[in-house]
Amino acid sequence: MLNADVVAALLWTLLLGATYWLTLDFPPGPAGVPGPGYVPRLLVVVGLVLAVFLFRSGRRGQVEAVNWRAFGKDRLLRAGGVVGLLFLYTLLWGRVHWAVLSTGFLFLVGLVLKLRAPVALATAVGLSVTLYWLFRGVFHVML
Amino acid sequence: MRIHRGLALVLALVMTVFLAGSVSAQYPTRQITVVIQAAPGGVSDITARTVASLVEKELGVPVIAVNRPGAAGALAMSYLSRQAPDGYTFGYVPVELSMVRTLGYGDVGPDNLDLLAQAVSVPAAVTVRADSPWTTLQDLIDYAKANPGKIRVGNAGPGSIWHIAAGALERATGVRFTHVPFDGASPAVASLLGGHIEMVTVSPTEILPALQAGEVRVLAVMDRERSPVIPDVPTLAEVGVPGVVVSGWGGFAAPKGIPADVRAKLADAIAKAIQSPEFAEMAASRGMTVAYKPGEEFAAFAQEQYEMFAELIPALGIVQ
Amino acid sequence: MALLAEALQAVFEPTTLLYLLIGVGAGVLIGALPGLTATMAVAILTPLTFWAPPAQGLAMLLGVYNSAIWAGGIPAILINTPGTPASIASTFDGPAIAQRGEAGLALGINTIYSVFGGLFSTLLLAIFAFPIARFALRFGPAEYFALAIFGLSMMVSVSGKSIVKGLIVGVFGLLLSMVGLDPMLSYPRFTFGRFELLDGISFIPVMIGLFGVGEVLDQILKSREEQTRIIPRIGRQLPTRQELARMGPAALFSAAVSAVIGAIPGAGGDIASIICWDQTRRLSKKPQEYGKGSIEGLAATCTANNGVIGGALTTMLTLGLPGDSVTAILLGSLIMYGLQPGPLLFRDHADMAYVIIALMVLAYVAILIVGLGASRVLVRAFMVRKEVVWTAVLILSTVGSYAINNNPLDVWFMFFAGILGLVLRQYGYPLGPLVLALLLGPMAESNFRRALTAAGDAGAWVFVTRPISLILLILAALSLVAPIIQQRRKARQGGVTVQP
Repeated sequence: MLNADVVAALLWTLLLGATYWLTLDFPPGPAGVPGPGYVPRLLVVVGLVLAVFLFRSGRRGQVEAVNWRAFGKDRLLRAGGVVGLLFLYTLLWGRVHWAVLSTGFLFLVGLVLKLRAPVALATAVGLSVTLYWLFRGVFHVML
Repeated sequence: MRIHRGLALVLALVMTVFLAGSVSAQYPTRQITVVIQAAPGGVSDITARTVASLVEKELGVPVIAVNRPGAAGALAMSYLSRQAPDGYTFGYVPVELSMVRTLGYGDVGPDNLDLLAQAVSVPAAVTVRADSPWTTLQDLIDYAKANPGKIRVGNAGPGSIWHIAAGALERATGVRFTHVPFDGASPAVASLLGGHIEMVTVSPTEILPALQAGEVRVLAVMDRERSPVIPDVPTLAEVGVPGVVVSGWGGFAAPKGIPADVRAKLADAIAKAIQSPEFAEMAASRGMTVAYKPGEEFAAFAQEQYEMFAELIPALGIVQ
Repeated sequence: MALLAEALQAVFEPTTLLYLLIGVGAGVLIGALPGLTATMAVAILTPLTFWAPPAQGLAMLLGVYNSAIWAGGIPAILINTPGTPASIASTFDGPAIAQRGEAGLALGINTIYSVFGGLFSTLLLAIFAFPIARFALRFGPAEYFALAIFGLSMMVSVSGKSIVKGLIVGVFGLLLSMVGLDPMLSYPRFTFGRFELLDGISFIPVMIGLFGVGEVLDQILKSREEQTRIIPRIGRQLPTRQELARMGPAALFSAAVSAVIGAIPGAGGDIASIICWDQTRRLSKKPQEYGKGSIEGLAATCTANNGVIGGALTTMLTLGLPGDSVTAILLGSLIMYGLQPGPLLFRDHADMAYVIIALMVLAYVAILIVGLGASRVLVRAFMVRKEVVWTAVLILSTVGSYAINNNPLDVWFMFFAGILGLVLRQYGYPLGPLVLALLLGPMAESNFRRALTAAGDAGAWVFVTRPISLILLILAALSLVAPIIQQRRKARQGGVTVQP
């Protein structure tokens, strides 16, 4: 039975494997003292034990299934839209003037969240301008 | 990464050509940014901000401090080297400028920047507990020679200047210490007082309260001159170990290639700031020695240090 | 005594008081906005204190810290959304009280008991900090390692329903905390050759992502329309004498317990208030009311989340050990003022220790006045639509993450932490162990290796031959095993494990 816990246990094992593989390059410590790789490898071992537990409890089927559909198409679309916009925003960070980028981002987020267009625009402009002034002007952050 | 650097270079060239004739005549006309390589707070930040506010008065335009911490300052220093050389961006450069390339934290060294002036210097102080059997440096060296690895030396972190100080002393006297890195100088001092280690090599300010309480003994400072914070303590050369000078220093630098007249104006303002009474007061309150050096002298010194560290750091076993 | 007089003089200067009030005011705004945490509040104000003398800078930071934690309870009561993670447990009872028309009383309880908890823990700080600091000089690397392990062992008790899932999140956090230069040899681990990663994954952007963006996304998925019900009326604020008598034992219990919890590294206001809520329910005469609008339950949680502050400050000031993300930032600020926290602070700068205590007391006086005076205005502020609040949290999270280091990479950390926060929440993985691991992982590892470096021939025996270290390790083992045994036993008895 392939449920969330079983999948998580497998992904976790993969991650631990990759971590272990990366530690192979680490230099050994001085005599008698653990080096940079010691604690990470220890953690990989502990992690594997935990993976076994998670896998077993998953096989036994004691999982509360997360029913994404239960949230409803509407809310999923909204959350997905926000994640997508945030991704674009992060991607464009530093490439477009901050105040312009932020206004656009916030306006679109407002629309995705089903705010009325004037409210969304007012929120976007208000927040961007205030924060730009606050962080750029008062805190000297390089926005 | 490489493309970015190339682009920045091209942009910088274009900007230089474009700006050289027009702007430098009445420099400065707009706000100047000073890039600080450390987090807000701490010695570097205070030093740079004090100078920034004095330069602001001198040049009559706002001087804004921006902190870009990371990778022992390498991020900020290589960022600085990529900025337009128009005099509107300069930065604080600490001793790490001569270290980070060897340490592998970033590809930047004294040769990537136009050094404007050295500002401060903080020597390493060889310190032991007052109830320890060593009253002179020679005692300590004799003991260490007879018992290799028995003396545990606390420092402010692997590859930190205080780690390298202990390493340099080790090499110069032919002994072997056990180096114990801490997360900063103060925990190392606390550990010394608690009897968990035998010795520290840190700045005089860090040990001053314990020294006044009579709990530690400073055997030597690793500088050419005695420290004004602890004037009774001899230098290494005075106690028979000449030629080992390890101190934390800091100064100011700009991207390479700024027009000569702009550079002169900026360096002049910085020099005035460093030699002002306000700066002296700040330095004294933080236990630093004001050690002004003009640009060329500073550049030569930084290069000399760069070569020394390039040899010392791999010997300490912290290089990749 | 002369030092105390000097400290009071420094505190009662008009500029210091002004800084304190600005701090308290900013704390109300930031703490009361869901998604903006006390951590963020302190982080945002820190740059403003660079140029101020230590007493004034601390006035602002302590003011904002205490007041943000208190104000976090306001939205917890009014809109069922904790303003900061420390107020999570205030949503168990607060909204129900407000919905039955006693919003004013709920807000009054929040203010009065936050002040009570805060002052109680400040008193403990004043009594115990000096002896602890003297004692802490005996702590070497072995003891600090044992202390960190003790803190990390709390992972099990903050794991909630699934200990296995909690521990997996914890191990994941520990691995994340290994990114960057290793603490003993400066070898770059898991950095993939990027210089930006040498200092590791920035803690604050990850926190902002997990708790700011992750929470917003979670709320978008789960929000119900009725959550925005308008509070019918505010009503009286001050509890009656009978009510005070009823809440008394719960509040006293919470104050004492939370101060101890606060002193344990890694356990913060959220954990303390959940534990106190649960424990006072067992002691209460009316446990059936808990979760349905019990004033005792609310008083316990409100006392507990401010009650941890004195304990957390004690650990941070005496051992130089940040127990949570806020004290981590405060620690940085103190270093900036030239005051390195640790055993030496109380000896070399004893006057500052008194200043901190005096400022804590004054901050709570200010909170009491603001809290009881302005709650009507605060209620009005929550008529803002939640979509607008979400938008504000999204933008503040990004700017806040970037502003700490001026580093765009931190915005990416925040983004991925936000997604991670959402996914972990959906699949029942608790976030508490992750925070603990990120905070204490570096300390545990570096002191482990440091102790072995300094031990020489003694080797790993240092951890068990030194009494303080041994005791702490035994305590860690107990707190690791006890909840597991407890859960097993409950499962065998066929009971359900109830964890809020």
